Amino acid sequence: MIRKNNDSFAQFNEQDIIMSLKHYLPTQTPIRDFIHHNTLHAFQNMKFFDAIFKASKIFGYQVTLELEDYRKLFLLGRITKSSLEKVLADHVGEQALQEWKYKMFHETYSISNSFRIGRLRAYWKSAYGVDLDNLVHPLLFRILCSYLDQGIAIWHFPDVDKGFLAAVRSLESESLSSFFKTKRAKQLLFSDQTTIQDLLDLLVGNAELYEEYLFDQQFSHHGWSGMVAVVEDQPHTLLYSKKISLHDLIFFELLLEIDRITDQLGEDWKPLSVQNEIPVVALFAEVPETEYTTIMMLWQKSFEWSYYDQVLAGISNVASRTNCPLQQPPTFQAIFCIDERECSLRRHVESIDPRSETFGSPGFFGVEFFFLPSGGKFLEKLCPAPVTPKHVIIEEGGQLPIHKELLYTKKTHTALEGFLYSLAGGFIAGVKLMMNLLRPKMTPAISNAFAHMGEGSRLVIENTDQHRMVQGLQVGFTIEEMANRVEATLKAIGLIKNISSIVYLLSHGSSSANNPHHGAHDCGACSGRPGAVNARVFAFMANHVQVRALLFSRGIDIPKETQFIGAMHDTASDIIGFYDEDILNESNKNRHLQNKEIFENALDLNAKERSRRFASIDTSLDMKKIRKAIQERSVSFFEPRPELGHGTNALCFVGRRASIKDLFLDRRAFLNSYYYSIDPTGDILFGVIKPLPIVCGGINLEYYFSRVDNQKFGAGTKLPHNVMGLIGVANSSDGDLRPGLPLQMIEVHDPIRLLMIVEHQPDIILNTIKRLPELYEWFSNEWVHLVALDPNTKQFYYFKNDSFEAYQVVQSNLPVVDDIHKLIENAMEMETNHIFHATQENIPVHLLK
Amino acid sequence: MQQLLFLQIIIPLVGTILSQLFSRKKESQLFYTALITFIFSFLITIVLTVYWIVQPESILLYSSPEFYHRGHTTFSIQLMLDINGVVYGWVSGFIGMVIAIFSRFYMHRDPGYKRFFTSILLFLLGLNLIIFSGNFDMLFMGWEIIGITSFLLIGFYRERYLPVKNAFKVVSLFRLSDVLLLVAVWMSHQAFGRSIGFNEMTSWDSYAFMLFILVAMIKSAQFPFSSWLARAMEGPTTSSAIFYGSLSVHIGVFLLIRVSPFWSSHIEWKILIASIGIITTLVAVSITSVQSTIKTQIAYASVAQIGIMFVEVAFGYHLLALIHFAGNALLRSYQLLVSPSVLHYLIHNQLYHFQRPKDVHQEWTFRKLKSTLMILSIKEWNLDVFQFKYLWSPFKKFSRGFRFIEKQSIQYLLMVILLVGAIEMYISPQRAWLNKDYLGLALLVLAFLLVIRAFSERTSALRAWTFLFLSQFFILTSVGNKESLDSQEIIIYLSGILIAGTAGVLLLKRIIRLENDSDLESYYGHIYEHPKIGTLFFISCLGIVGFPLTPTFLGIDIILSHIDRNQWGMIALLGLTYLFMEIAALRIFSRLFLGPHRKAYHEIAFKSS
Repeated sequence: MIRKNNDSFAQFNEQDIIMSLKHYLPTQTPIRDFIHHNTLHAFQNMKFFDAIFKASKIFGYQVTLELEDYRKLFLLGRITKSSLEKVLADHVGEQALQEWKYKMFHETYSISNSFRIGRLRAYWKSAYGVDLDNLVHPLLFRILCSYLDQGIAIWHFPDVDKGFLAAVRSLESESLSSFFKTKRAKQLLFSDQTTIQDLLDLLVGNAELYEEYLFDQQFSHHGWSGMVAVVEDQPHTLLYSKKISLHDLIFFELLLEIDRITDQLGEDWKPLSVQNEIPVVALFAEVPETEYTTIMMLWQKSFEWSYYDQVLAGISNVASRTNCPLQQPPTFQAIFCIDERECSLRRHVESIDPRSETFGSPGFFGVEFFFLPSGGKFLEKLCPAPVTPKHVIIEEGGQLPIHKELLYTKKTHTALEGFLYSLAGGFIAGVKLMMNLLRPKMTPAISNAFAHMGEGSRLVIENTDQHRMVQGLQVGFTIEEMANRVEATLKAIGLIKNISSIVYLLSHGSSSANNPHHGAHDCGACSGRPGAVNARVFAFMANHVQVRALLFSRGIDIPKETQFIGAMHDTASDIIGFYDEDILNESNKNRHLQNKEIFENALDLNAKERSRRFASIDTSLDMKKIRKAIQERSVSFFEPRPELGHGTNALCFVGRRASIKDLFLDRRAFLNSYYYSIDPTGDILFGVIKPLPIVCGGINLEYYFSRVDNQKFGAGTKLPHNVMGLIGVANSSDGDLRPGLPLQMIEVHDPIRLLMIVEHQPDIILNTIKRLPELYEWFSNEWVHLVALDPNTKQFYYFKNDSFEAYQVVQSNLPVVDDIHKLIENAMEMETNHIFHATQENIPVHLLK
Repeated sequence: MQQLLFLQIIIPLVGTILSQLFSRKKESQLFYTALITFIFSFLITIVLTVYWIVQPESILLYSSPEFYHRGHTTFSIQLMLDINGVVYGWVSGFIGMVIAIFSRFYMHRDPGYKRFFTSILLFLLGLNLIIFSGNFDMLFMGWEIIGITSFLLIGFYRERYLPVKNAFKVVSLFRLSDVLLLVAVWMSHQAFGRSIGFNEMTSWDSYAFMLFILVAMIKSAQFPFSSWLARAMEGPTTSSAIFYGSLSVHIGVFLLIRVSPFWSSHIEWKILIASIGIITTLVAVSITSVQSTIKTQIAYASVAQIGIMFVEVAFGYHLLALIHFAGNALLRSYQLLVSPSVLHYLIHNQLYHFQRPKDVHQEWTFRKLKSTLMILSIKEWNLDVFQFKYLWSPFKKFSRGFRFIEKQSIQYLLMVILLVGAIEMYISPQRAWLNKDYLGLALLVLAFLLVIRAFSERTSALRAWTFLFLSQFFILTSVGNKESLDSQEIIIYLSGILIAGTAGVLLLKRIIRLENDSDLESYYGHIYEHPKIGTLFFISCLGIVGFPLTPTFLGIDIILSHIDRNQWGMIALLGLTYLFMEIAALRIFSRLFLGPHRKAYHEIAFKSS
């Protein structure tokens, strides 16, 4: 053993390094909760381009499109000359413009693939001839997966509540067989005194290199390390809780490394820094800007502004049209989620019934709570991920969903029962396979958005006894608490007068088969779950007589005959289910029947619009056939794209619906309703804008990074995915976990940052976003673009270098479309999923006639 | 009616070739080519089955005119249909069709759409050759084809490290089974004096049939070869379902049934085979029990059932084994196809029914046993390590002793020896300068040494390839010195090799010139930029090792027929040479063309994926 010298003791701080590792590791939770977030959140304190190029240099990520791709996009017209020149002029000035332009188009750059991570650990291969990854990874992953497994394996890892190392120790001590091949490692495992530092002394030797070594080691399998770090900090993300820590993983992995090296080289090998001259390099040292990174930044900005400018041109076009506001209450009003997938459905509803009115509000409708389903054993969070609710909504009664599927039983895996199952079950399997190919239908094995609640169940929403608690949470909401939430939500979207007789709350969820990533398709504002419960809860609150009385005193006059109805839109199958329809009074019942018809027709159109991107459906078919085909897709085991999730998202509009109503945005915009004139101080705006960068920006950046590097940031293609321990997916039997989005979800996505457009005066917006540093960081560091639309002057202001400056739209004439169906039917279908082809599927902004 | 059997070979062959005509973007054309091929083949199976039922014979035979006849070597297509073929034909026809339909949209926009459908068509060809084979020669052809399609489908995601590594691992084992089969077939030829048909099998009093059993064990992942099945789960789920869930992995059982007449009269052999099955089942069930990933769990569960099938076949319950096969194949391919949905299914179940497993207080001995089993099973009983340590590692070590072959002077010497050998071929034994038997053996030893050097070569791809190329000439002169080969035989043997070998040299030179990577130290992934060179080089690899459908394949048959029954050393050496030749060729291909691309201007996967 190497004797500890005092120097190294002083320099190595285990806790700091573990904290630092956790900061940079992926933070994706076990996959049943898929919460979108900025993949490079660890770099969010830097400006966007500085951050991505630094991350690229350290970890070897691809952070933009390829240079050749940008050039091709220019030839295609996706990057416009005018935007490119504007970006160039802003950055390098008019004088150097031609020189830089030449470089952008013609210069060749040799791209070095030397990145910092992995340098140190590579010495094992080069200097000792030991391929540590091959020797350690397969077994390490198998042990980790067995330990964290939620219910695939038939035998359980013992002692999972004592911690990972303790469990391994107890297993090792009882077993005649061992994970280790050498006595040396086993002794180290059982010695009480062994610390991570001791093991690093053996392996590396020089304390100055320890941090780098641990980064190399943990980032050689960032998926598993990230998962361990997440489970350590958020143990509730597992249903079958397991105690584990990154410390334990590192300790065990170091032991395995020592074991395998000793097995290969015998007892006499020297630590890395003793046998080799290894210079100390700071992993996180500054990364200088190069001409190449500047060029890439210029291209990326040009790509973004070519689209943004179109959108802004569209909005100014709409603004110049004269709108006559509705005089009487609309036929009905519907509050949708801000989700960009609802963008088209809202457009279709409004086009079928021009007297209807739609709003957008984050899909938890401002009511945050945990949900305890009838017969359920676990609480489910139904609000944005960063919020921790203090209330629980309990479901009672209702038809329990059916849970059993014959051939999914683990009994098929044992010898004798497996024998019987394969004799008898095999033929059933054959029939089932055929049936799913020919006539796909819903089964318990398919993730069903509507199965989130039992059919016909009741919810305990009103709190009548403040002391009634479940798991430390207050059951339901008091009248006051209800009124506060309803008030906040209605005021945020500006729905405080002219309220129609029925107001729908349209949450959304998504059904899909064979899709471990189904959580990523559900409502992001409900922690990646269907939002039906929230819609029902909000409707109940807003219908409550005492709540209305309180609301009246706060300036919201809801007419007596008005009734709120909760509903859910299944974004994959294009079905809407309504809840608690029996509360409707006679006249509303009739209206509701008519409205349902409108929704039905809108869903037809929506399905048709979506179908243009689906190879299995011919968009020119009869509407009802398309509807059926779309429904079948959502329950087909062979369909890796039941829907396309948030692919193509690029915009977030915060303002009145009227300001963008006449634009065809091709399902690319998050739409948050907001009415500036009732909010002169920006107080309401603050509440509205606060969650948007986290939710919409998080989604957008996750799509951005998974698109530009689907291998390292994304999960790669779905087709070979293997479900690991019910907590994640890997490509094969012994690969690393793959966080991020699979290829099938990001193909249609153009990697551009989110453009957020807020309809208010720039100075008020600036004051609002400055109230919270975390919020401000998103904009000032350019992870999300911000544009103010001054409602009075209709002038745009772009937020740059911490202030708003006027932005003049470059493009003047946008295409006008009078028949959306033609536009959709004639839209291009991508030839391959390479960005050059894929982007052609996205329809530019059109003005609706 | 029997002529229809011939169509079972022709249809997939035509389908495979047709699928080459479309670009990968023509998904519908590719899909319909595959679908029509599968449906057509399935229909013929149905028609044949009906005919087989109504006519009185228990076996249908088809024999094509001879393609080749010379001396004691004849070559013709011999096909046959019996109950085994019927059951395997129905199951594979059905599953093949289902998988083709399933894959249509599943594989949509995958860059390998065309490769996928070509591979499963080639797979059908291999499978039909096995199922409807009338003798071992036909069966062997199918065996090799399935081995290569496995390489293609396991390594389907060729831009990542693990699929390539595992594809290579699995194909090495498959190649071992190919070569064992080749030797076993040779021995049966020698023992019976001709190529015997499956309809005329009799008891065989020789330990040689153990080779057949070994072959079946490897292909059906029996102990101690079980772990390859888990490693093979790298391709798209559909290909895993058709290959490793169902059809490919059960082919060993088929072979076992086919060769059962050889040993079924000996109780001791029955017990041995049953023991293999039982051990496999026990080991596989224990490994299944700790599998925490869904696909490997299904894989080991399937292996456990196949172990039981070995027992059934051992004791003569062939019909039961056939039904068991059909059920297991359908069940496992279904389970694999829906395996991603297990996540939702189990989690949803847990939300309502979860119970934390209690640590039951158990006897000390029981705990001890269980912990031991648990660790052993998580380590997969060290099966992977075992294969590496006892199969491949000794050869690697052995070859290190012969590094000197790479010296220039030794290479000149080799050329001289080859020349002498070639001249000696044409001199009658009486007038020869050297003893022909020893010369032949020496030449073969040199061929083997060349191949094994190519197998462990690291510094020069071109040298490795040249060694392979050269070793074929050594093989030829070796056999030519022992027996007289006529010029036609030589031409048949060399025609494929000359073309493939030369093409390989040119392609390697080209890629080295373009990319400057001439060594085999790591994976370079050049197929990303040079798919055409890569594909052609892959075909050259197949050519130089005598893949079925190349003339060399027939050549190898001829060569083997010249080796007499007593020349054990010769056949063993030849087998080893052929074994490492293919492995070495695929290794060159894998290292240069597959794996993570060396150039970093585009997205590249982590090594751990």
